[in-house]
Amino acid sequence: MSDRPMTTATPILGTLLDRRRFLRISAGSAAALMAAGMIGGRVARAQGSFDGVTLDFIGIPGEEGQVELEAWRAENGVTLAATPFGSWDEVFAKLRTDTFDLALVANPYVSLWGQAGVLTPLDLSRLSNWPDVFPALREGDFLRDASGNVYAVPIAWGDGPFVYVPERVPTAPVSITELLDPAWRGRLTTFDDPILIFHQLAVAKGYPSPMMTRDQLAEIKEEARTLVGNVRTFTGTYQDATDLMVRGEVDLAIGGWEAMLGWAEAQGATLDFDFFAESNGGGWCDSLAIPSNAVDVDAAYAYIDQMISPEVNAQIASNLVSGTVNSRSVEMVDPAALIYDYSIVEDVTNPIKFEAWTPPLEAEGDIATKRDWDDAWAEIRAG
Amino acid sequence: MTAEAARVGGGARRRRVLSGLPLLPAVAWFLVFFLGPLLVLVAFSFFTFRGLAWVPDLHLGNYVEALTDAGFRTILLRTVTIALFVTIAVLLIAYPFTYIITFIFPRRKQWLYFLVLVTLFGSYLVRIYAWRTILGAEGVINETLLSVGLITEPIRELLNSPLAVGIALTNFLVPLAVLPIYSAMQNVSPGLLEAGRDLGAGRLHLVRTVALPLTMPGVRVAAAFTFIAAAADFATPALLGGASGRMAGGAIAREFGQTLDWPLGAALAITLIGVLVLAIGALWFVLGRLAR
Repeated sequence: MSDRPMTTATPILGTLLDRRRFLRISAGSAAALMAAGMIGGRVARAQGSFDGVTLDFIGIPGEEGQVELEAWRAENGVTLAATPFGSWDEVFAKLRTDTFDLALVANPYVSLWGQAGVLTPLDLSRLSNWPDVFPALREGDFLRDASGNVYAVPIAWGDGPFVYVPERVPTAPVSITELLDPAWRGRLTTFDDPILIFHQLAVAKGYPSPMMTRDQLAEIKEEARTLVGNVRTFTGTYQDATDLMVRGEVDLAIGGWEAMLGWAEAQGATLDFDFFAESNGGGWCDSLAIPSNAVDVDAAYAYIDQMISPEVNAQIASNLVSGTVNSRSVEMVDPAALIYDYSIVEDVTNPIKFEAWTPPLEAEGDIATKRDWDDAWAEIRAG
Repeated sequence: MTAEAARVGGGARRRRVLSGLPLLPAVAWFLVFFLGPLLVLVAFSFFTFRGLAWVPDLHLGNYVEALTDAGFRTILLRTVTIALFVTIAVLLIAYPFTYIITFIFPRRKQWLYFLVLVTLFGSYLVRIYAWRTILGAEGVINETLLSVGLITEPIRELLNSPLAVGIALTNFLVPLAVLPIYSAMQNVSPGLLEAGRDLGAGRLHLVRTVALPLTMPGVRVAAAFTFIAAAADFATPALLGGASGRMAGGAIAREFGQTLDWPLGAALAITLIGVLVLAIGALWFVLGRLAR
C-alpha cells in the first residue's frame, strides 16, 4: 500500500466535491460563458485596467478561473470567453487554427507544444507570484524546452492513482504488471492513449521512458497488448470510468482521480484508490500558457498571475480538490482538499514527479519517437 | 434561321435556364459544404506530417501506408464485415415491416410510418447510452435472465462486443432503411398483387417475383444508406464495442484527433470511401440478381 494521505478523505470528498457541486461549477462556468458569448464577447464593462478586453481561453471547464476571478475581471474590465474541449490533441489542433489568449496545457504536452511553436516562451518577470510557486513545479523540466524557455505556468496538480472497486478487488495491485495476469481479463478500463500505459510498463521494466529505444518499445508493446487484452472497454472521461465501475462492468480504472470516489458515493457505490509503484508519486499538472497567436498578451499575463496568487489558487485547489501550486496557499486550502503529498512539489530534487511522459517528436539514433509510440498503439488497437 | 425561329429558340433556352434556377441553392450547398471540404481532404492526403506540422510536399506515401498497413487492413475488414451483417439484418427487418404496413394495413400505413419516423427524433448518443443500460451486466436483459434462473452469472459479452455494436446499429438504421423502401412501395400497385393472388401465387412468391423487383431501387438506396452509416460510425463502436472493436471511423478519428497526422487521416478517409463504393457496388449487384 502507498504511504500517501489516506482514504479518510474519502467520505469528505463525497461531500466536498460531489458530482452536483462539480457539475454546478462547470455548468455555471459554461452558462456564464455562453451568455457572454451570446451578447458578443467584447462588451466594454466598468472602466478597468484592460478596458473591455476579452480573453479567449481553451481548456477544461472549471479550471479557467470563471468563479475564482469573477471579481478581478469585473474590476479590470476583462471578459472571459472559454472554449471547452474533448481531448488534449483537440486543443493542439485548435491552437493551430484558431486564436486564443490563454490555453490550459497538461504536463505531457507543454514542452512538446512549445517546441511545435504554438505556445509563447514566457517572460516570468511579469508574474509577481512566480517565486512562490513550489520549487519542483517551478523548476520542472516539463515546462521547458532544451534551451530553458518556460512555456506554461502550473495552476493545479494532482497525483495519479488508479481507482478500483474494493468489493471485487480485495487486495489492490502493487504494480501495473500485475494487471497482465489473465485473472484481470475483462475487468479493466483505461483511456485510449498509449502514453500512460507504455510509460508505466516501461518504468516497471526499468526502461528510461520516454526515451526508450525502438527495441525496448517493441517489448513494451507486447506487454501493452496483453494488458489491453484485459481491458473491457476504453473510457473517455473520469465520469464514464466511474459509471463503468458502479454498474459492475469493470473493477479497476487505470488512470483515475480521487474525485471519482465522491461521484460513486453519490450513486451509492464505494470505490477506493491507490498508486502503482511505477507512478513514483507523479501525476497530472495543468498549466496556463499563452498561445503564440494571442492578441491580448498583457491581460493574459495579468490573468495568469492572478490564477497563481495565494488566495485565488487556494480557492482553485479547494474547488477542484487539486494540489495548490503556491507555497503560501496551503494554509488557505480547504482541509478536505489537502489530500496530496506536498513533498512531491516541495523538493526540487525529487525525481520523476511531473516529468513529460511524451516521447520526442524527432530523435537521434534508435530512440523511439512519438510516431513510433502512436504506430505501436494503433497496431494494438487494430486487434 | 428566321427571326421567328430564333425568338422561339431563345425563349426555350430562357425557360430551360429559369427552370434550373430552383436547383441553385442545393447545388451551391453541395459545392460549398460537401465537394469543397472533400477536395480539401483530398489535397491534405498528399501532404506530410512532420514535427507536428503539415508540410505540403505532395506524395503518395499516405495512400501506400493506408493500403499496406496490416492494422488498417484488419480494421477495414472488420468494418466491412460488421457493416454487411448490419445491412442484411436491417433489410430483413425493414422490408417485411414496410411491406406489411403498406399492403396489409394500408389504412393505417401513414400512422405506422410516422411511428417509424418518430424514432429518428431522439438523440443518437442518448440511444447509445440506452443500449449500454439494456445490455450491461446489470442491464435489463441480464437482470431478467438472472431473475428467471436462465443464467447464474451475467452475460458480459452482451456489451462491449461486436454483437452490441451490431444490435445498436441495426436499431438505429432500420428507420433509415424504411424511408426509401416505403417510397418505392408506393409505386407498386396493389392491383398487381391482387392479380397475382387471383392466379394462385402465394404471398412469398408475390413478394419475390412482383414486389421485390419493383421496389429494388428503394432497396438499393436503403442498402447504401445502411452500409455507409454502419461503416462510417465511430461513436457506437467506441462506446459499445469494447477494447477490440475499433472500426475504420475510429481509426480515422484517431489520426485527426490524437496523433494529429491529418494527411494520413485524410488518406485513410479517401481509402475508406473507395472501399465503400466497391462494396456497395457488389451489394447492388447481388441485390439485383436476387430480384430477377
